[in-house]
Amino acid sequence: MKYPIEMACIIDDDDMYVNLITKVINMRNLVKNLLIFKNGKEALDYFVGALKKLEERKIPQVILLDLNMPVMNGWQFLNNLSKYNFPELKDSTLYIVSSSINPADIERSKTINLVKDFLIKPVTIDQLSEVFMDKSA
Amino acid sequence: MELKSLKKRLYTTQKNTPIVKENLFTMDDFYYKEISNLTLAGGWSVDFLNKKSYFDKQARKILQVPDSYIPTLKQSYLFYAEEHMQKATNLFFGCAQGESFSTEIKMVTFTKEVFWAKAYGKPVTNNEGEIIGIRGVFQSIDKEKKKELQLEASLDLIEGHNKRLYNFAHIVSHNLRSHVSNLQLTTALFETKNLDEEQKELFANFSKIATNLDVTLKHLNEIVTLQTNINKEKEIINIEDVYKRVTDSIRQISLQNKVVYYTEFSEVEEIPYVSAYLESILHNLITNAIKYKHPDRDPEINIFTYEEDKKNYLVVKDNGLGIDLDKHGKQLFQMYKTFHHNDDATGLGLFLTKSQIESLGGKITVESSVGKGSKFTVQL
Repeated sequence: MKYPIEMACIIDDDDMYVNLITKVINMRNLVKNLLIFKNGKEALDYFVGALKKLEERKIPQVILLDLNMPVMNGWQFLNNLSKYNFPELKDSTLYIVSSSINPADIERSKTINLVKDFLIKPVTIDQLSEVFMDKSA
Repeated sequence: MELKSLKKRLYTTQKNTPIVKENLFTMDDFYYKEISNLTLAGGWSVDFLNKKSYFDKQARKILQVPDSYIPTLKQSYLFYAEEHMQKATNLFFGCAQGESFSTEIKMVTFTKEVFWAKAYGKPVTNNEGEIIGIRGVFQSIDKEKKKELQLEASLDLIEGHNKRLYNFAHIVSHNLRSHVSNLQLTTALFETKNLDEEQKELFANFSKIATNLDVTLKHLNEIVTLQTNINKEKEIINIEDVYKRVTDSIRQISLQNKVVYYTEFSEVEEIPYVSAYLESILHNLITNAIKYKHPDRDPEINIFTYEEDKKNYLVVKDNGLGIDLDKHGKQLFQMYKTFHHNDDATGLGLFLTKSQIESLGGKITVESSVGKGSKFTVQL
């Protein structure tokens, strides 16, 4: 089976949303390996571990990041991740997927190099497919 | 007062001019007294030659000094609040050197009540131009000053309320959107082919509700976002460019409805404005003109600009259904008011348009007659 994306990750604390996105991804065979992190901290631990090559971990090609999360929110995650300045990240595409419509948030996301785009929830199935197809194209 | 007696009075005053001059420091002139009563302003003076200080009646009243009190220069500092004594001293010395002053200062009455006052002072010169004293007026502005402080406090309060309201709107729209997002995805993923007809119909309701909720939320977002965009920066915008962008984006609808556009932007070609707003305003007014076209004729839309009294105007005029302004005029720009029973009328377009225009300090007016058409004039 050929998948558009080898590995992707969702960083979001909304179980139902994660569950639904996973269904869409599986239904359309968009991603081979999907990682789920409940907050920025969990994701950061994984990324730092993987990028330091402590184990045979891979870096997700597509990252869907929520902003409002407990323990470590999306901004803090981005802040921490950019401190490491990993060159491997240049092959990854990061989307903020948030229900925030605060223009300040959207403006702020534009100042961060890692962020490709800001998707406002609700995201549609087609929008989601596009994110993955776009990357594989 | 009768003219005759007024004349007499004026005459007397003129005749008595030397006496008035002699009593320069007692200031018992009629007009002066009346004004003093009217404005509750007290007068004071210091006569350097005779080494005497005077307070007039009103000053004595404001400062609450006993009738027997004789003011002296030495003790005058006692009538100023401690933190303003130095300021008062400096002003007095300056005035004695020939420099007039006008200031707001904290004063103290004889009975030790502190009050805010407006104070003016001027040097008094003799015929040779030497400064022989100073005199001035002070007026209690305590009530005004206190009102001003109160007003500032209420402004802070309102600002706080506004901030909380704004946060509330954001939280509501944010939290609701998470749920709507999940509801929409769920309905999109739901497998309906194994349902019986009745359940299919019921499920269709779910989808519809989810979509409607989404639309309502989008409106809410637009309003919330509008409130935050008020400080958006204006830039010089070419109106024709914006017009072209808007008509390009609705090319299909224009073709379907056989819309004819007439434009004239030569009088005002460019204006400082928020580009996204102008686009949204034009888009709304033009699509409205198409939506509410007259069934018996193809829509013709006139769009032009003009300048009047140094203000710029944009006009969008159509030959559509028109609106009964006597009936609906007041509600036209309100939220969720629709007038033509159109299915795609949301009742939000003109409300948003008006909000956008007003947030940039402009105005929108409408002229219309039923069956003939409408004319919207935007003061930019």
